[in-house]
Amino acid sequence: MSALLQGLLVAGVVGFAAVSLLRQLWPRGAWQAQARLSYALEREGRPAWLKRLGLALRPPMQATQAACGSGCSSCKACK
Amino acid sequence: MTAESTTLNIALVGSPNCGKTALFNRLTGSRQKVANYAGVTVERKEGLFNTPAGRRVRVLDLPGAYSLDANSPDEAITRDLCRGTLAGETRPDLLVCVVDATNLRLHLRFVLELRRLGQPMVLVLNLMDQAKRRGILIDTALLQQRLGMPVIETVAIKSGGTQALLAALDEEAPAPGAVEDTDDSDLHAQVSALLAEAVTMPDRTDRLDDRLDRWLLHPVLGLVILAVVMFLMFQAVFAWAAPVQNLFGGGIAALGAQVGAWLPEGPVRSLVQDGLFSGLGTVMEFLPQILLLFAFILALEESGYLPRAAFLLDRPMRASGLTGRSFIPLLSSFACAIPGIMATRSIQGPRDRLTTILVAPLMTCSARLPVYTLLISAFIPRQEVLGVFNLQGLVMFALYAAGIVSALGAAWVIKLLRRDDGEHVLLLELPSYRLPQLRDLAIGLWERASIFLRRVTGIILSLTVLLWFLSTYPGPPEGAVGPAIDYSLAGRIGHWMVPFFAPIGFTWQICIALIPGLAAREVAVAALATVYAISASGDDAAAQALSPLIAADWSVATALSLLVWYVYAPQCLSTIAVIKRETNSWKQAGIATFYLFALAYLASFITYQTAVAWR
Repeated sequence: MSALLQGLLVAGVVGFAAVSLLRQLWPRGAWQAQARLSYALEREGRPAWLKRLGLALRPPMQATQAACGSGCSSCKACK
Repeated sequence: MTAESTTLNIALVGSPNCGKTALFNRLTGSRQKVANYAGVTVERKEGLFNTPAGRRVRVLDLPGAYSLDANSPDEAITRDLCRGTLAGETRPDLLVCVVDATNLRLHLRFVLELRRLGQPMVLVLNLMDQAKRRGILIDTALLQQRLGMPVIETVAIKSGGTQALLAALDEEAPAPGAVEDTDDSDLHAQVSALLAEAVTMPDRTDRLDDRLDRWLLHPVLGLVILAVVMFLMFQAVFAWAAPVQNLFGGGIAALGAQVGAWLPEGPVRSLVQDGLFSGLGTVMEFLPQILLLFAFILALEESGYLPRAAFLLDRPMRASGLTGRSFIPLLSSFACAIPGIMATRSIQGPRDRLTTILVAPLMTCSARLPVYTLLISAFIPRQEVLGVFNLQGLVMFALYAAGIVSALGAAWVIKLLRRDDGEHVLLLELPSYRLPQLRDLAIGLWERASIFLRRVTGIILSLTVLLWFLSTYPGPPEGAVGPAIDYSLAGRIGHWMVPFFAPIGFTWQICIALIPGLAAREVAVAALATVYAISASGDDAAAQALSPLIAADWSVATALSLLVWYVYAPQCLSTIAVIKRETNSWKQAGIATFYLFALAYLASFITYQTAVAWR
C-alpha cells in the first residue's frame, strides 16, 4: 500500500471519527453545520455534481434531542 | 375470534412488581425493540409474537403505575397511552391488565380505575403459583362476572404458564365496557367488596416473606446483611471474572498481532494496532466484569431484595438529608449517573430531588470499573486476606464504599447549607421474595452487553481514533532523540497540563488520558493503552498489556491518587449536561462540576502527599 493511499485512508477514518463524535456530543450544532454545508453546496450556479453532493449531505429534518447526545447509551435516549 | 391476518395491538399494564416484564419476556422472547417514547426519556418496550392459532400480536410493555393519577413521567405515559391520548401512539386494541395474585388488595384498585376508561380489557392474575402456595383461593369465575371482563391465570416465569393468555388472545376480543364516572372512595369500597366475595386469603402476607423479613429488615442485622451482600458481590466480581477477562485479553492481543502482521508498515498498521487493538481491546477486556456486576444487581432486583434495601437505608439516608426514595436513583447511578439522575423525577420534594441529583455522580458508575480494575490489577497484589478474602476485591469494595460514604457526606453538607428540617416520609411496596429466573437474567444481561458494545463501537471508537491521531501527529523532527509521542499534539498537551496536576502525582500520560475521559470515563484506559503503545520503543513493548507497563512506570502513590481522583472526578460531560437539563439551571450544573472537581483534587492531593510521605 503506497504512503499516499495510507494517508488518505487514515484521513478518512479520522475524519469519520471526528464527525461521529461531534454528532454524539453536540447533535444540534452538528446538524446545523451539516445543513449549512448542504445549502451552500446546493446554491444556484454550483456545478451539478456539487449540488448532488449537497443534496446527499442534507441532514434529516429533525435534530436529535438536545443534551441527549451524551454517548452514555444507558438510557437509550440518544438513539 | 379466529386467526386473522391483521395484527392485534395489545398493551401490558399493571403496577410495579406484578411480573409484567416477566410476562412480556415470556411472550416475546428476544423479539423485543427497546426505544424511547417521543420527546421523553421513558423507555418504550415493544415486542411481537404469534398466538398458537397464528395470530400476530404486537405488545407494548407499559411503565408500571399504581394509578392513573400520574406522579411521574412514566406513569403519565401509561395514563395517556391507556386513554389513547399519547401523541404518536395508537390506542391499543386490548388492555391486558396484569396483577399480582398474592397482592390483590393493592392491585385491584388500579384494575377498577382502568375499567372506568371503557376499553376492551382482560385481567391477568399473575404469580398464581405463589398464590396457591400461600393458600390464596380466587374464584376467577365470580371475579370475571363482577368485573365484566375475562380473568386469566398465568405463571409468567414458567414455560407454558401463559398458555391461557395466548388462547384468550385467539378468542373474540371482549366488548368495551361502559365509561364509568365513579368516585375514588367508591373504588376502595369496590375492592373490599370484591375481595370479600371472590378471594379467600389465609394470611395477608407470606409466612416465608415474614420469616425472611424478620432478619433482612432488622434495623441492625439487616444493615449488616446488606453490607455483607454488597461486599461479597464485589469480591465475586473480581475473583470470578479474572479467568474470562484473561481469556478475552489474550484473544484480543493475538488477533491484534495477526491483523498487524497482514498490514504493511506505516500509519494504517499503527492505527489498527496502537489505536484500535491496544485502545479498544483494553476496554473490551472489562466486559466480563461489567456483566458479572449487573448479573448480581439484576438478581437482587428480581429477588425482591432491592426495595427492602431502600427501606433499610431510609433511616441512615435521612440522617444525611436524603430519603429511601433516593436509593433507587442512586442505585441506578451504579450503572450510569444519567439514568440515575433521570430517575430522580420520582422524588416529589424538589429539595430532596436536587440533593440526589447533586450527589448521584459520586456513585461508582460502570464506566469507572475499567479504570479501577486496571489500577488494582497493576498495583494491588493478588493475595488472600484472612484466608478467605481477595485483597483486590477488598480494595474494589472500599472504592465503591468511598463513593457511597462521600455521597452521604455531600448530602449532609447540602442539608446543613439549606437548613432543612422537614419531615420525609417513605411509602414503599415490598414485593414477595422470588427466585430470580435465568431467562430474565439472560435478557437483562444481553441488554447490558448491547449497551456496552454500542458504547465501544460508538463514542469510545471515535475517541480512540482521534486520540491515536493526536498522539501520532505531528511526527518527530529529523534528528529527534526522544520518544515520538513527545512531539505530537497529545504529548504537548500532556506536558502543558503536568504543572497543574504534578502536586497530585499525575504523569503527562495520565494528563492526556483525562481529556478523552471527559466524554466517557473508560476511554481513559483506552487512551493510556494507546499512549503507551505509541511511546513504546519496539514492537515487543507495544504488544505488552497495559497493566505491567504502568506498574513499572508509576509509583504506588500516583496509582492511589488516580484511583481516588476517579471516585470524585466530574469527568463526564454528559452527566453535567443532564444535570443542567433536569434542574434547568446552569448554576446547579456549575456547582456540581466545581464541587466534584475540588473534592477530586483535594482528595487526590491528600492521598498522594500522604503516600509519598510514608514511603
